[in-house]
Amino acid sequence: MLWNPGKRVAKVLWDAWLSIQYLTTEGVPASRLPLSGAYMVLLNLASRQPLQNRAVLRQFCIVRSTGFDNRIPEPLFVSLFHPPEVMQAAPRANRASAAIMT
Amino acid sequence: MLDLATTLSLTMKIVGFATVVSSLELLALWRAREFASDGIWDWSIIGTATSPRSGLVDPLFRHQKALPVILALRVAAGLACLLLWWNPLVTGLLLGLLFLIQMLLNTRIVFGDDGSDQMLSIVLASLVVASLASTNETAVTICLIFLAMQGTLSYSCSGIAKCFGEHWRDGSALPRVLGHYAYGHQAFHNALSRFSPVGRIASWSVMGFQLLFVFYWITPEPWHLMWLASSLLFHAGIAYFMRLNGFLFSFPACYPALIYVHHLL
Repeated sequence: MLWNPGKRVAKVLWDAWLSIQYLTTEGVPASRLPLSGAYMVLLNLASRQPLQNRAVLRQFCIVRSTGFDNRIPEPLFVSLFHPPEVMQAAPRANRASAAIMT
Repeated sequence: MLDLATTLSLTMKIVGFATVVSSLELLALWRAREFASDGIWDWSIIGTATSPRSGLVDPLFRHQKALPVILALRVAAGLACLLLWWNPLVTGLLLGLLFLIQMLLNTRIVFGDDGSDQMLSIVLASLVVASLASTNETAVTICLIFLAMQGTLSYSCSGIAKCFGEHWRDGSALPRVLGHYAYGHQAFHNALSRFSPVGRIASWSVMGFQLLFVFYWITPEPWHLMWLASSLLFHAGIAYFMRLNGFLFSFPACYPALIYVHHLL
């Protein structure tokens, strides 16, 4: 009740998704979304997950679930495919162009 | 009821406590490497999201050790505010430091901040202005009126916004919110979902309380304190069931100003 550092970690996902939604409604084409700061934050979050054996590419998906109700999650956004070794380097490489997007 | 110096001191002490808890939580995240190059708040990514503003603080946050030093300084300043009595010079400098750090953190933690961080920024800014204008009682009172209005607006606007939400209007919002993995509470969610009239009443109570908070201003003394006790209970409930503890510490920082200004009317 008085101590919860983890609340910010959960909020990152929500804030980044809101930002992607905003860019989409502003008419930013899907092909340019990977250049946005929010996409890179989500990519960074996804890149922290361990890779399955023999996996050569990684893709993440934002889904809406009904929490404890356990209904079927609804996909909202699907990322591009990213080579695992590129995922760590991509944010730095995209930095200049991403500044335009955010 | 409360004099000017006591009101300012109480506000400062509550905000000091809020900054200490917030800083210790951020230090815990730093220890868990969440601000490192492999963490969620990797500066090379977060700095991109706030560019070109981030350019101003990039030389500082490029250093991994800068954040813990800033947070340690924030803990020390917050503790000093908690212990000291209002003094425009000494506490004014401490509050100025806390405000500066808050602005730095607002650039560093772009994703993952919430309304409690915004409230901290507003309260600190008001107290800094009050310190700078300490020789002019009218100006200090205006700072407190601003804080009291901010507190009222925070509740009222949130209530008005809920009126536009379909699920808040039909009374299903609160059980839905409590069903969330990150912010929910399974037992409470199940109870509210099982007894839907209770869930509806609970949802409408939250919305009604926020909408009606403006009636605080026409409630006679000392009954007006019931509004503040209710809102404190509301934040305690959010802290317990949703684990959003920041609101419990930052919103009550407006309460001394609310009490002081109510007495003026």
